[in-house]
Amino acid sequence: MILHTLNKSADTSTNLHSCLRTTLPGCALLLLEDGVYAAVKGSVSASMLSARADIRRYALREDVEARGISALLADDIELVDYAGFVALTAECDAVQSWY
Amino acid sequence: MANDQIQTSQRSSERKKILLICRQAPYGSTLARAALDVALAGAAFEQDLSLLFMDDGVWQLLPQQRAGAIGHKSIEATLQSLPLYDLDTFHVEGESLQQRSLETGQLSGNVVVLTQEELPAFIDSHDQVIGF
Repeated sequence: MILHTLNKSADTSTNLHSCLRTTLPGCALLLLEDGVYAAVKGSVSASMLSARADIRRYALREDVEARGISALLADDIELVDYAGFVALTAECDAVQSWY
Repeated sequence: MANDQIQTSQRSSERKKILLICRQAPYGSTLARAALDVALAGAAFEQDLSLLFMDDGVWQLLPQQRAGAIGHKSIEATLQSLPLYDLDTFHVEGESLQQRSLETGQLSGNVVVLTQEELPAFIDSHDQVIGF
């Protein structure tokens, strides 16, 4: 299983498209830094993420809170903290960073 | 020659209309902070500054940024200090808000929404434009 991480806003890069089309069901996707904006409810990127319910989708809590979007997040995104990030990294065989 | 110099110095002492265009999210790069530094410096020299937020720059205006969690100072908190320097209006492109499912009421500060159609003339009404 691969952990995909994505750190750029979906509005300024094509990383989310590339990531979603290369991610197998059952893999994990962690949004971090500006990547967390992709999870804002009602956005095009959030519906792209919702369409991949076969992937475990996370956002890094610290980056979400720093950007003031805690209350705006789509319901199907799970928040993890740095410890959760480490656990995901340990659990997965490899990490693919989309940056 | 001496006449030219006088004219040049007169031109440079005119109060120019300067526009800062903020297009980046607050913490992914240092550009948002750089724009604020320019705004504060310009305000200190009593320049006629305007701020325009478009694209990912609109994220800078969300309240309650707990940036300490990632070792930064809140960009939004600094933006809120600008009215102290008579910079009390934030121009925002409406389409950038819509694309991000944001509404004016969710932003902090005195926000004036401009449409895509209004932007070219708005930008053109300034003497100098700096992009961030």
